[in-house]
Amino acid sequence: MRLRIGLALVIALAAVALLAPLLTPYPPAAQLDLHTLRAAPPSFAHPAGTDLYSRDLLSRLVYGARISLIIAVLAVVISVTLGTLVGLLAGYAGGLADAVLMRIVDAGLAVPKMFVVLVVLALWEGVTIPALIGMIGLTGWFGVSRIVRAEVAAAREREYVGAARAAGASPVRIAFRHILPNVTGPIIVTAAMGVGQVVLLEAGLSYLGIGVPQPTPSWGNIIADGQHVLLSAPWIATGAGLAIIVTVLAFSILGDGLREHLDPRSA
Amino acid sequence: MSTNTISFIARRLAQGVIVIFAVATLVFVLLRVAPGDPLAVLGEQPQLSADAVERLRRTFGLDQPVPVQYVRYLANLARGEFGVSLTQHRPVLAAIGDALPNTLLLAAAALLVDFAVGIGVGVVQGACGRSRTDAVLSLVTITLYSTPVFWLGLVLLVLFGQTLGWFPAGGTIDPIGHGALPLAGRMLDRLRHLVLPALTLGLAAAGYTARHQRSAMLEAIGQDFIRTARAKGLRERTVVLRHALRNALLPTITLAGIAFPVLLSGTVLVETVFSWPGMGRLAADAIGRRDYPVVTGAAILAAVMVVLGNLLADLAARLADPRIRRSA
Repeated sequence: MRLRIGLALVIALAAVALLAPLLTPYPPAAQLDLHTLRAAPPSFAHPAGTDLYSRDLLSRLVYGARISLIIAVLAVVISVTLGTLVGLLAGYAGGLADAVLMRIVDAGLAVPKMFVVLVVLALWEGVTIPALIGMIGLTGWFGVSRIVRAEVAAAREREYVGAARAAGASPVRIAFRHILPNVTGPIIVTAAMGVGQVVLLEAGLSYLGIGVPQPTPSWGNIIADGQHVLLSAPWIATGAGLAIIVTVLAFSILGDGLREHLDPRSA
Repeated sequence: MSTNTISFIARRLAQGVIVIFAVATLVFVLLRVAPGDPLAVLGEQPQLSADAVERLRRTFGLDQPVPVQYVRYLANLARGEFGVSLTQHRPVLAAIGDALPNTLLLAAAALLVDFAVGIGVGVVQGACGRSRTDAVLSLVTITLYSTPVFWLGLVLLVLFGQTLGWFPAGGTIDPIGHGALPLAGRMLDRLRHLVLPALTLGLAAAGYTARHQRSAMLEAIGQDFIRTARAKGLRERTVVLRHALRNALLPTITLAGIAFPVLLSGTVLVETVFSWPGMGRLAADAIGRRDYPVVTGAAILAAVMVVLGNLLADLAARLADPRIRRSA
């Protein structure tokens, strides 16, 4: 049930992101009324209103979905891949490699993530979207690697691994062909949840003005646009906030659904 | 305190030092690898001659090879010397000293809200067990978990700060009236300013805590000792609160250690929304102005707080659970 709701929501969001040019009445950065430059409330011509620069908010929200989802999905691909590799290595090799890697992970988890990303992005002159994706991906693998390591360390003691070893399989082959397929469940769940969390992180960064650069729309920078006119033009920040909630909710529900589906006991 | 506990603390502190060392190294590498000159801030001031900048470069040791800089940097940190802020013209520790109490107050209050709401809701859900109440509360907690903390802050700010006017809209004290108030009034003033930011940060985190607490409760209620307690004819209230909750609280205590860095990440945003002069604002401002010594100091302090938070959480877990004491 949850899996279906989550999947449906995520597919709908992906469709919105993919079909953005067809769904939007105006280009997202076009200033439509340069004479008055006034935030207009929702109307027939602008269902979500316009912002302080007279840009159509519906178009910005729809293109914002595209930007947010691209960043989140690519960043999660990077962090889950890295985290899985490190977790596999630490969990399977054990010993010194495990100890060193896990201390690095502890250090990575000990610094608030927002902070690391802030430092790096602020030091690099001019944030580009690929840099943003890289940074979020490279700082996001610590938690994943810990989960994978625990799963791998448990799987290593199972009979099928012993059987593979007795059959003469190499450690690399055992790790990738025998252990990895048996620990994909938690990795998939983590990835689904992770997409939602990266959407939140990117929104926070863009809100602070160091994420997606203007005039490219992002839900975070739309909220920043609207935060000083919350009383006179509440539609600016409201729409973007709801868009974030629905998106993160979709991926969280999908994650929960996947967990239920893959491991019925835990639900 | 048993020798076992003391050796546990010693071991964890040693690990903590390694973690902090790793964080210090990470910050050093990040700052060196980043393009841009650490003294660019000073170079932008026209009254400074190139000669003066060169002298400063020597003072900060920036003319030395990188390995030498690294060793000096670690030696200074080990001696507790964090240097002087490039933009605030005072020692980094003084700037941190002003900001840290505000953040600790905010984080402590938020943790209180987080755990009161999170555990409360989780216990109700666990006790109701897969009912309509559980389903509705699940939707509420997962929505909280999915809400951007700064947006929640803005909504509460508009609603309770500006529209209803129940609470002040930002800052830690009333900038005009605070000094004139009696002690009790000053404390009340601080408390009124604390409510909205703490509520924002706490509620945003409570979604996760509640989800965690719910599954811990469900797991505890499935255990044999609960059946025994029910079979003895104990009231359901006693069974839930006395028997199940006590066991289901353990994972949550450990969670507090993990929740702390997440809370600190949140403070960057919440302090921005509510103009709260804490570590998050200090760090964000320092990063924006390329004030490297403050950035370094704040990062290391954050790591120290997280390490200590984890240690406290683990100690609390040991205190609550004799099984952990014996196995370690």
